[in-house]
Amino acid sequence: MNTKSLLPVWLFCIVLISACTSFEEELKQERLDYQTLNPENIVTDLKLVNLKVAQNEFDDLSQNYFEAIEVEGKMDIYQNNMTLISDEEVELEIKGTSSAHFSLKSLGVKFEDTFDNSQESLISINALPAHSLQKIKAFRLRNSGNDFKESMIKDMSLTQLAIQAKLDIDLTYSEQVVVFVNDKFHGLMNLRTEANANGIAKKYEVDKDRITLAKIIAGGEVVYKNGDENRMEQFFEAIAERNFEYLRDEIDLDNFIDYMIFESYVGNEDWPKNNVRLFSIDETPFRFILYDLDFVHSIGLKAPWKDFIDANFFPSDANPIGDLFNILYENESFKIKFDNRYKALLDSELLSSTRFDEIVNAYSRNIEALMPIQIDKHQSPNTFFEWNIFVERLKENFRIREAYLKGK
Amino acid sequence: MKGIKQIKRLILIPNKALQSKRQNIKLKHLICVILLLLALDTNAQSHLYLETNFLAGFQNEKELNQRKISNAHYLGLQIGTTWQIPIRKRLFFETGVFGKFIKSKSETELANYSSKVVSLQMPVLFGIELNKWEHSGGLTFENNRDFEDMNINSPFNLRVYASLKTSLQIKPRYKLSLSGNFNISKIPDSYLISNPANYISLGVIYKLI
Repeated sequence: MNTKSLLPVWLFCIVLISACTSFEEELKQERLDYQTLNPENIVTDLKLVNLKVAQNEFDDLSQNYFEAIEVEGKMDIYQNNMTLISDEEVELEIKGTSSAHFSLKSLGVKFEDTFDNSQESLISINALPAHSLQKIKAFRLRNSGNDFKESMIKDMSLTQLAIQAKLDIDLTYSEQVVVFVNDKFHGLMNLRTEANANGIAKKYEVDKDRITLAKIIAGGEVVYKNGDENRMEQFFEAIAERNFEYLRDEIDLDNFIDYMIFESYVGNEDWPKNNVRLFSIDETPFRFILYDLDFVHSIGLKAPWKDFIDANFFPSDANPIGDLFNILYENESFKIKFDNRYKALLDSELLSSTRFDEIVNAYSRNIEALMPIQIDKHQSPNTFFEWNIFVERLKENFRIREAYLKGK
Repeated sequence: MKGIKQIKRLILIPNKALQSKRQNIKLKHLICVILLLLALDTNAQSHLYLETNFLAGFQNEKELNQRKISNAHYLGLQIGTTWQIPIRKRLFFETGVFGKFIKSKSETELANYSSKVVSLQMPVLFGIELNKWEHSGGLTFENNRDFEDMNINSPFNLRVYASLKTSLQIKPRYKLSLSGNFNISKIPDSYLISNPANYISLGVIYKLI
């Protein structure tokens, strides 16, 4: 073989190694220095959360994020030069799983006593009618999870879509905030209510010990978190035994249908073998909580909704919630109810890309001016240019998925 | 619970990353094998060329996160090799491998942006030879995402251009070429901001074999 004829192979290899995209930018407005930024000189309408902790303890917490470390401190919240919360005693710990590797880590913030949010000084969101945000025991300052390196607003935008659609879903509530630690800029974060037993108890204004809660973590493993473990065990045994009547009576069907529709409609790849929480108050049927939507749109934009429920992208793991759905879906009356609800939601504008665009646009405008500062400090994403592309892509991906599911 | 969290952190991420990497490696292996076969499957009548082109990109005005993009310029360079295989009489089939480099500049009301994109291309063209002129047309395939971002379960991994090419023989081993490439894939605008939908190219072709 002539050596020249191997030239295409060499060229291919060289291009393959060097193929990439790189971005540069020059902002037209003066770039603020995050090192000199503090709660008094920052210009934003967002709430400012200032955590006051011993710096060495906070550094230790950040560096040893796999260890069960809690740091005590105090918290102030300001907005538009007004002090909303002052010197509230809190405990901090690192939260998150894969996202705990990032330079900006999610923080769990726990009040010493239950916080009275009736003046909306901590979080001011229009909650669904069944939910209350008056009392809060703990919340999370979230780095946007695995969307931290991209748009920073994926999870909260999708959750807000479900809230605005008034779906029969349990979920978390988020608000964008700027976080300072000891008056120094820490990062743009999402203040989010918790989906744990405390969070549910406060949301429904009941005692925590009335909550039975389990979660499904990576690999489809069930972890019992609170309350009646025997009841939860029976529930998962019933799934294994395909006991339709028992399961039908043990879950809130309207909630389950809306929950399964929404997760599969948006296309959450990191579900239902992970990021599932189901709870019950006393003996009421189990309800499901929507949370952690960071991996939505990561794959399968044009995959059927059922592929997500069956977790076809990672088929080797256990999938009890997919199994639960399939047991119910084999029943004609459940199938009709589910299909009709899916069609009604698709035909309505409740989950439309027009609505989603409005939500994303509003959230991205809220943080647009501060993103260059965030990028300077955390290099995630690498440039303001790329952040804009990721926000644009969030809207584009939603439109593509919507068009696919509507058969357009 | 801390134990569970730690296990999840250690195991979850590599699984996803590994799956994606494996898919990319498979894709790269497949392309390598095809190219190797192309290299072996030559005969005395086919010719191997080295091509160098200058590119200028163009497309409709775009928006980025609700901001209008203005003053967009796209210039680049393309280097590659093509096999030209006679089919019958004056008709020929042409394929090859190109590296495409595009540098773009644009601005919005908030910032001036620039980007550099290096991508891999594979044209598949059919043409006709008319004296010193050659006219060909067909499709050119290009990686739309960076290879590390490719996933077989995701759309927009590839983009396809409709390609038209004309070349003129100026010396026994040299030709001048002019070509136009027009994106025919349904690709969202965010992918076109750095790498435009259409481009024309002007270049020189040298006959290696």
